[in-house]
Amino acid sequence: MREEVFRMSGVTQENSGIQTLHNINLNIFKGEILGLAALDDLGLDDLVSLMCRNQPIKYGKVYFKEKLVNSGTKQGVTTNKVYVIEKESKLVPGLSVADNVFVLRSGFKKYLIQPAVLCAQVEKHLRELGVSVSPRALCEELTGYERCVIELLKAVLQGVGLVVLREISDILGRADLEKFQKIVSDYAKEGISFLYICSHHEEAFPFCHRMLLLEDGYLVKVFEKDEMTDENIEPYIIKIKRKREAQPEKEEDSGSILAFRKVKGTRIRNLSFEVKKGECITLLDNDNYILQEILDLLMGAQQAEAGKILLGNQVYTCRSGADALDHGVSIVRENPLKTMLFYEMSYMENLLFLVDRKLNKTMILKKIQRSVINEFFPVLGEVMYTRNIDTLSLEDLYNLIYYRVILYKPKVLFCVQPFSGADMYLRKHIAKLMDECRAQGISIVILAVRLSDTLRVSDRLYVIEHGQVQKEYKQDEYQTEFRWQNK
Amino acid sequence: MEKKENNVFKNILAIRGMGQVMTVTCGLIVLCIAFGILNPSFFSGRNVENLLRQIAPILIIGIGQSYVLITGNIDLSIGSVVGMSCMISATLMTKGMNPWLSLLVTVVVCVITGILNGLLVAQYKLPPFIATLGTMMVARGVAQIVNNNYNTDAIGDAAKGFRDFFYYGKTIGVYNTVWIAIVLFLIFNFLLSRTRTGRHIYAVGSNVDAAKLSGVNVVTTTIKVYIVSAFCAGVVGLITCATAGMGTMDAGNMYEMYAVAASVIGGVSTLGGIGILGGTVVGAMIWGVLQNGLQFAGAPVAIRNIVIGVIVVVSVLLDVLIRTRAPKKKV
Repeated sequence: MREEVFRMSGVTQENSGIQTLHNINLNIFKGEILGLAALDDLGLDDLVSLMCRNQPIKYGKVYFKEKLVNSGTKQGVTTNKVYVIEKESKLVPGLSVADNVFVLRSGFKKYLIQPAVLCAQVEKHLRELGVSVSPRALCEELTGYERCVIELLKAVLQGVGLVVLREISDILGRADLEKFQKIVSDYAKEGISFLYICSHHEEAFPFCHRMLLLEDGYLVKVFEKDEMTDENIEPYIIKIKRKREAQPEKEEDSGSILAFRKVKGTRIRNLSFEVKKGECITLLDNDNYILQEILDLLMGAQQAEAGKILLGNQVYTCRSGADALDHGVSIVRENPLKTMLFYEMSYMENLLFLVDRKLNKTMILKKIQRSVINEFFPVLGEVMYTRNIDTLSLEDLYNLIYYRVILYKPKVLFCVQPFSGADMYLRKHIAKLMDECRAQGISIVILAVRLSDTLRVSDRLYVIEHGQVQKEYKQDEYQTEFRWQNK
Repeated sequence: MEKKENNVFKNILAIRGMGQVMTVTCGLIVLCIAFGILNPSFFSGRNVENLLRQIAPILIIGIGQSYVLITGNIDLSIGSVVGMSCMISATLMTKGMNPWLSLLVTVVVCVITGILNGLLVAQYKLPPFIATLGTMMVARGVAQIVNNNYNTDAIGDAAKGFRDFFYYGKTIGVYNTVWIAIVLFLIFNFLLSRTRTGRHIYAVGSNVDAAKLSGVNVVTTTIKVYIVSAFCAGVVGLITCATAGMGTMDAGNMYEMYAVAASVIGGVSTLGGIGILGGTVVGAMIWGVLQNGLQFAGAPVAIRNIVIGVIVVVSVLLDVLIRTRAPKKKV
C-alpha cells in the first residue's frame, strides 16, 4: 500500500462569510506529483493555506503523514512541513544562496557559521541538479529559474514532505519550465510529493500522475493518468473564442505601425519584428531574458545600441513614460491590478487619467466627463460612479484598465503577461477586452514567457531565444507546434 | 445618470479622506464649545481675530506639507526655510534693499531650496527623511550665516508697507495674514483638486508604478510639491519677519512638526495618495484652538505640547489602521 503524505477529508471552509471550500476530499501519496487545475480563484488560497497551517476549519479533517493535524474541533494553529514555491520569493534577497538554504531554516542550531563549509555543501547539491549558481551569489541576483531551484533545494534540505508549486509557469519561460519539471520529477522519484497548481490542464497533463479540477471551491473531477485527454476534460472547461468580426481590415499595404529593425541592447541581439494596425502579435521570450529590456527601450530608460525602432515611418526615440504615451505607445504591465490602478482615486478619476494628456488640457471639464459617461455607461454600467474601487470585481477592474487605454487610443499597446495569474473566466474576459482594443484599431504586442491563452488572441507569434527571434509563426502554423499551451 | 451626479452631498461624503475631515470638524466644534464654556472670552471678537491670525501661518505651512505628504514623502526642512526666509528678507531690508525686491529674492531662494529637496528625493532617490533633514540643517545654517550669526536690527519704517501687508494691515475687517492664507488655500486647493498636476500628485502617492506607466513624470511632480512646500514656508518666513519687525535666527523652529500636525489631524495620509486641503484647514484650526484654548485654561506649554503630540500620534495611527485593514484586491 502506498504511503499517504497528505489527506483532506470532507473539508469545508469559510472566509469572510463566503464558503470557499466545499467538502474537499483529496490525498497525495509519497513521491506523487498531483496536478490541480483551478478554473477560478475561489478557494485556492484557502486550500494552500490549510495545507501549510492547521488553522480553524468549518468541517472536515486534515491528515499529514497519516496523523490527524486539523479538525473542526481541534484548537490552536500549528504548521505542517509543506513548502510553497510561488511567484513571491521566500528567499531573503540581500543574503547569499548558502545562507538562505542552510542558515535561514528551522532546525539550524549552530551559532557560529562556517561559510566555506556551507558553500561547499550547496555547491555539491547544485552541481547534482545541474545548476551553475555560486553559493555566494545574492538571492536578489538570481534568475527566476535559479530562484525556483534554490527554493526547491531549500525545501528538500529542510525535510518537507510536500512541496506546493503554484503557477510556476508564470515565473519560468518554456525552456526553463521543462528543465524545472525534470528536477521535480527526479525529486518525486526520491519520495518527495508535489502539488502542482496551474491554470491550464495542458500544462499538467504530461507532467502529473493525477490531476484534480477545482471550480467554485468544489473538486469537480479527478483525472487518473489514463484519463488525461482533451476529450475527457472538454465538458469542464471554457475556451476563448476569437471575435474575428470585430477586427478592422488590416492595412497590409500601408506597412507596419511599429517595427523593431535589428535592435541591439544589453541582452537583446538583432531583434526584429513588426506589428500592423489592429493586429495582435505575441513575443514569446522562451528564456525570460529580454522582456524588461524591451520595456526599457519603449519607456526611454535605455537606448538601443544598434538598429532602430520605427513607429509608423518615424524613428522612435523616447525619454520617459510620458514621452512614450505621447508617441502613442501604451503599456499594460504584468499584474495590472497592482501596477496600473490608483486605489485612492475613484473609478472616473482612474478612467479619465489619460484623457487630459490626450486632450492636452489642464482641467477635465464636466462636459467631457459627462460625454465619457454617456459613451461608456452602456458597456461599463453603474460601476462608473464607484468611489472606492477596492470593492469592484476583478472583471470590472480589468474593464477599467483596458477601457482607459481604449479611451486614450494609443497606436500600440504592449501587454506584459496579460493572462498571468488569471483564472479561466478572467482569461476569457481579458481576451474579450483585447478584442475590443483591436476593434478600435489599437495594435497589440503581447510580451510573454509562456503562451497561456495568448495564441487565442494573436495573429502571429515570434519565438525569442537568447535575445533574438528564432522563428516566426503565422496563426495557422503554431496551432500544432504549441498545442499544450494553446488553450 | 443625472440624478446620481446631482447628489452633491453624497458625492462630497464619498471623497476619500472626507470622512476623517468630517470627524475632525466635529471634534473642532466640540473643542470650541468646551473652551467657550471654560472661558466665555474665548469667543470674544478680539480673541477670534487673534486666533485666526495665529492659525494662518500654520495653515500655510500645512498646505505645503500636505502637498508633500500626498506624494508619500515628507518635508522636514519647512521650519528652517521659514527661519531662512525671515533672516534673508530682514537682512536685505536692513541693508537698504527695497522691501518688495527683498521679498522677491527671498522667495526665489526658498524655491531653489524646494527644487534641491525635490531633486534629492526624486532624481537621486534619497530617503525624503534624510534629504530634507540635510536641507533643514543647511537652511538653518544659511539663516545664521546671512547676518554673521546675529539677529538683524529692526527693519524700520521703510518696510512699513511690507509689515502692514503681511501682518498688521486689515482688509474688510480681517487681518491680511488671514487673507494671505485664504488666497493661498484657494489657489493650491484648486491646483490639487481640479488640475492635471493635482491628479499627478495623488497618482504618485497612490501608486508610483502606475503613475509612471500613465505618463506621469514622477521627478517633476515631486519637485513641484517640494517647491510648493518651500514657497509656503518662505511666505510664512516673510510673515514672521513682518510680525517681529526684525529677522530672528531661530524663527520657524519646530514649524515642520506643526505642519505635519495640521496635515495629519486633517486627514492627510502619511502613506500618500489621500488627503484634501480642506482637512488641513480643519487640522490647523484644531492646532490653533488647542493652543489658544489651553492657554486660556491656564495649561502650561508642556501640557499643550503633550496634548497636540498625542493627537498627532492618534491621527497617524488611525490612518495606518484604516488603510491596512481596508479590504484590498488580490493583486
